[in-house]
Amino acid sequence: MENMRPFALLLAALLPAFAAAPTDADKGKTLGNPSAPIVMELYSDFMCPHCKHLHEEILPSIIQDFVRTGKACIVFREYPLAIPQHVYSRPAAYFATAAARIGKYQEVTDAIFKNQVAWSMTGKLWESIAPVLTPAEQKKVQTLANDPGVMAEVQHDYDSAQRARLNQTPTVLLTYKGRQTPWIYWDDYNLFKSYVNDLLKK
Amino acid sequence: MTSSKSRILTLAVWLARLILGGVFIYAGYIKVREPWQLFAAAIAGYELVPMQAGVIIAKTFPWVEIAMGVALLIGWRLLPIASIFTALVMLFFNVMLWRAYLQGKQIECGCFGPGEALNWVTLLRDGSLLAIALLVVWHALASSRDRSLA
Repeated sequence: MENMRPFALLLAALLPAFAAAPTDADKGKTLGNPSAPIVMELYSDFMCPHCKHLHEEILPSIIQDFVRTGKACIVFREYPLAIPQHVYSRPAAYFATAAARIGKYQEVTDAIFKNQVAWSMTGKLWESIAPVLTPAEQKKVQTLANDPGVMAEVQHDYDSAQRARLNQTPTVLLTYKGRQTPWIYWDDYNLFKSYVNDLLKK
Repeated sequence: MTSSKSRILTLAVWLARLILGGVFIYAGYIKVREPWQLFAAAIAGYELVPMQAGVIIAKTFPWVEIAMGVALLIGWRLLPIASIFTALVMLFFNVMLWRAYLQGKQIECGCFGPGEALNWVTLLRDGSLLAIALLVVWHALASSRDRSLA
């Protein structure tokens, strides 16, 4: 048994290299097993209609087919596009990231996307978020949304999207066996599904 | 003087064939190496053909690109037909790229694998490749006419 110790230590040292999820992933924004073979980093902008479509219509299928089966984990990334029409994208990203800190990311993002049309026009984001939180949670999220750490995390996601030369949302950056590939085509989910399944066979 | 000009032209055409042939082999190889779905997704972004047709194109066209590239490099009797086909393909690519660009589509070019956005750089590059292809066509046709006259 004593002889096994060096191997155990070596294995422990190597494990982070095999674990698929990026080290900078926010645990509150990660869905599925972080050591799944494929990591899907989903870059979204809360004011983007295609992101709403993906979140509501396609994401459940991705979760069903790849996350629940242990083939992939999803890391949600904020990519508030720096365009004048998307003036509320960044505040929405701050609220969502703040919600992730208290384990309410999914609930808050569901609410933000559900009411996208309304708050995009009025800017009254909080009216969509508040109903899915308890009064205590509301207080925490409002405080955290102005926290420099939360703002830095959103900026970090934005910067990583820029570094990966992503120029539109929604984009899924797939990482498999250390190789990253962006996927931007969402009109046919079956094509994406077939791609990921073929990738896993490699 | 004429001989010197002719030599420069021959060298230019040889270089053009090398560039075009290399580019086509590389473009085909990149696509063959990647899962076909990535190219199918890029084709679908242009909204020109139905998905089933896009799938067939995605699975076969990379091999056509490699064959075109090899034919351009080999030259010989393949050159006139290979260069005409290449020029037509490049013309088609340019029309598609400009159409998508003018429509304001934010899509992937699909030219050299995934992750390459359609922008003015891709337009400039494909425009240049079309010009190079036309030079090869012109030279190949002129050479074959000269041979038939002789």
